[in-house]
Amino acid sequence: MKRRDFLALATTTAAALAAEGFLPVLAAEGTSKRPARNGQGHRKPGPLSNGTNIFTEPCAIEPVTGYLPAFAPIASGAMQDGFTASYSLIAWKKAAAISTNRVRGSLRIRLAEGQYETRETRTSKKANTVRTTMHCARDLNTVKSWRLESSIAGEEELRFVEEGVWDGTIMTVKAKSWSQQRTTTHPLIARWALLPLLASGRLKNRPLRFDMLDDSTLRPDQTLRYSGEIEIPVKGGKAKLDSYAQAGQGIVPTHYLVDRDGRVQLITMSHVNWALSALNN
Amino acid sequence: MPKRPNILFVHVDQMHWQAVSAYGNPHVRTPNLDRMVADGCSFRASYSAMPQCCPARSSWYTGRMSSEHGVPVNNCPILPELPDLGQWLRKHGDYETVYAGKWHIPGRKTEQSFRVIFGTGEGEHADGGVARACMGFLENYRGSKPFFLNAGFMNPHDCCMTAGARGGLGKFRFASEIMEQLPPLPQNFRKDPHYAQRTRGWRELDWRYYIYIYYRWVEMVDAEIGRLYDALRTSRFADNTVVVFTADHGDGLGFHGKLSKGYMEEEAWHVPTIMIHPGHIPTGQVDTEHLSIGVDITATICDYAQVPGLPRMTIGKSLRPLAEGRAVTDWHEYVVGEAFLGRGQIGVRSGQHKTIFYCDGPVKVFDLKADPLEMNNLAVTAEGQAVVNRHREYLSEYVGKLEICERVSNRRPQAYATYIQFYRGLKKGAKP
Repeated sequence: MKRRDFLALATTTAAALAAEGFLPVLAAEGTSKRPARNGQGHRKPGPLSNGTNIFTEPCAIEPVTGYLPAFAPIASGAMQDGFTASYSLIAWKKAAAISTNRVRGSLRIRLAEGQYETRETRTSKKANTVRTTMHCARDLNTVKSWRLESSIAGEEELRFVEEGVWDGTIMTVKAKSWSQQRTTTHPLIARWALLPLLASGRLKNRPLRFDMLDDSTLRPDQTLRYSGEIEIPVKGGKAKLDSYAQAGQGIVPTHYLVDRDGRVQLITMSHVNWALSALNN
Repeated sequence: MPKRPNILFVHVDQMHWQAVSAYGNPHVRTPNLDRMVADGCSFRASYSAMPQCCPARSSWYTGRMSSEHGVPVNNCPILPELPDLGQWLRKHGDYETVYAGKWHIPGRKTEQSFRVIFGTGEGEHADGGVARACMGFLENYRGSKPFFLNAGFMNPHDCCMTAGARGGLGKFRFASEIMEQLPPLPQNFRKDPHYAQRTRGWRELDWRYYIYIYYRWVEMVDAEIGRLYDALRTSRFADNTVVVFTADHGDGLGFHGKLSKGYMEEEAWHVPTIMIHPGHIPTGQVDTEHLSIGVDITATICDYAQVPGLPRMTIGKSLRPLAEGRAVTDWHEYVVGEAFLGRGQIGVRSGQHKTIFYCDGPVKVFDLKADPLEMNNLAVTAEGQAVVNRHREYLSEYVGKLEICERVSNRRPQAYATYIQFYRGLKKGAKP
C-alpha cells in the first residue's frame, strides 16, 4: 500500500471510528459523539443494533468490513457483453472491531455470446471446485441448459458431472446415476447471470422477480431490487456504489454493489462474499 | 443373514424441531425435508441427548449419554477407549465408513473412524461441498461392502455467527426492507434484559429478523439435503439404503426470549428425526407418541447394520421396529436429557409432562399437552409436585443405568463437577 493511500485510509477509518466512539479514549468516556443521522435522531452508544457501529449503515458491507481497507475497486472494463471477471471469495470469520475476513476461494466468470463459463473454488480441508458451462436466453439471461462438474481436490473418485435443462417450467438435472426435477414459477436465472442485468441498469427502475439457479439447486421466489446509492470505505478513500438487494427463499439477503460503469464490485451475503479482482473484455 | 443395507446418516446443526414446513410452519419452506417426511417416518417426540454440539454428537457416535462419554460440554475430549460408530461398523459389519462435513467430537479425529471425503462444517461456505462430496461418492462407489455414509451439514448453525462488526448485527438493518416477510415473535417470547449479551438492546425488529434469517439458513441446508437425497433416491442404491436424518439440538429462535442451545426447554432440546427405507418403512408415517433420545440413533444404526450395540449402551433403543410399524412393548416410558452448562440442568420427559431439574435445586414442570410453549410452570401446584415425584423416580432409575465418567478433563472441569456431584447426591438418596 502506498503511504498516501495508507494515510488516507487511516484517516478515514480513524475519523469514522472516532465518530462512533470506538476509539479507546472515546469509548472510555462512555458517551457517544455520534451525530444524528438520516432523521432518525440520536441513538445510545453500544455495539448492537441500537448502537454505534459505523458499518451497520450501509448494512450491505457489514460482512466485509475487515477486507475493505485492502479492496481497490476495479476501474476498467465492462460487464454487459463479453467479459471475463474474477472474484475473490471473502469469507467472514468473526466479528472484532471490524469483521475479520480472509480470502478462501475464487470465482472466474467468462461470458461470450450467451454462454457462461464459471469456475468456482472454495477452500476447506479439501478444496471443492465447481465448473459450469451455461447457455442462456438473451432476454433476461434465463437458463436454457447447463453442464456442471464438481471435483474435490485429491479425490478423483468424487468427481461427477450433471447436465441440466430448463423448459420454462421444469428444471431437470441428470447425472450418470441420478436425475432430479424441480418446478419453477418464475424465470430461472443463475446467480452469476445476474451480473450483466445489474450492469445494464435495467433493474434500477424495475425489481426483478425470479427463481435462482445456484449450483444445480433451485432457490425459488427471489426479488432483486435497487436499494439506493451508498458510500463505502475502500482502499485509499471512499467509493460511491449502487446497491441492489436480493432476498428470497433459500438465500441470505444478498447485496450487489455496482459502480457507475456497471461493474459489480462487491457481492455480500453473510459468511461468503465476493470481491471483484479483475475484469477483462 | 440378510444383506446389510447401506446407511446414509444426514445430520444438521442447531435445527429447531418445528423448522420444517411439513410440520405446519408457515414461515419456512423446506420442500426437500417435506419429501423425506412423506417418504418415511418422522418421529415428532425426539430429543437431543445433550443440546450442545460436541456432547450431542459424541452421544450419536458412541451410544453413551453426555455424563458417560467424557464430553459434558463443548470442547471436552471424548474418552479415548470408547469405540464410535465408524470403528464399530467397520469392525463388526465390514462397512465402508465415509464422512463429509461437520464432526466436532473433540479428542477423536474423524480419520480414525472414517474415510473423510470432505472438509469440516462451515455452513454457507461448505454445506454445498458436503452435498457434492457425498453425491460424488454415490456416483462413483463401486465397492462390494455396504457403506455408512455420513453427511454432516452445518446449517442452520450459521445463525450463531451473525456476520457483523464488533459483535454487531450484520445485515439486521435490512429488516426494514422486508418488514412484511418477517415472522412474528413466538407467543412465549418475553424480553429478559439480563439475557445473553448478544441480544441486549435488540428491538422486536431485530428478533424477528433473526428468526427470518434463521429460516433462510434452514432453507439453504434443505436445498443441499434435497440434492443429496434425490441423488440417492434415483441411484442404484435407492432401495437398499436406510436414511436417518436428525439434528444435534435445536435453537432458541426467540422462544422464551432465547437464542441458541444448551438448556432443556423444547426449542433447544427437541429435535426433528426422520427415517426412510423404501419398501420397509411405510411412507408418510408420523409418530408423535414414542419418545426418543439421541442415543436411540446409535442403537438404530447398529440395528440396521446388524451389529451388536456399542459397549455399555444402556439407554438407547432402536427406532427401527417403530418405523417399520412393528409392535413394541418395552419402549421408553420417559427420556432424560442432560445439559451441564452453567448451573446444569436435567430434563425428564414422559408422555404428557416435562420436569427440568436444575442441579442447584429449583425445578420447573410443564404439561406439554396443555401448554406446549411451556409458559405455565406447575412446580408449586399439586399436579406439578406429583409429576416431580414421578420424574424423580425416573431420574433415579436412569442414573442407575449410567456408567458415569469421573475422569475430569482440565478443560471445563466445572461441567464434570456439576453432574458428578448431582448424580452422586441422587444415588445417595438426596432429592433433586
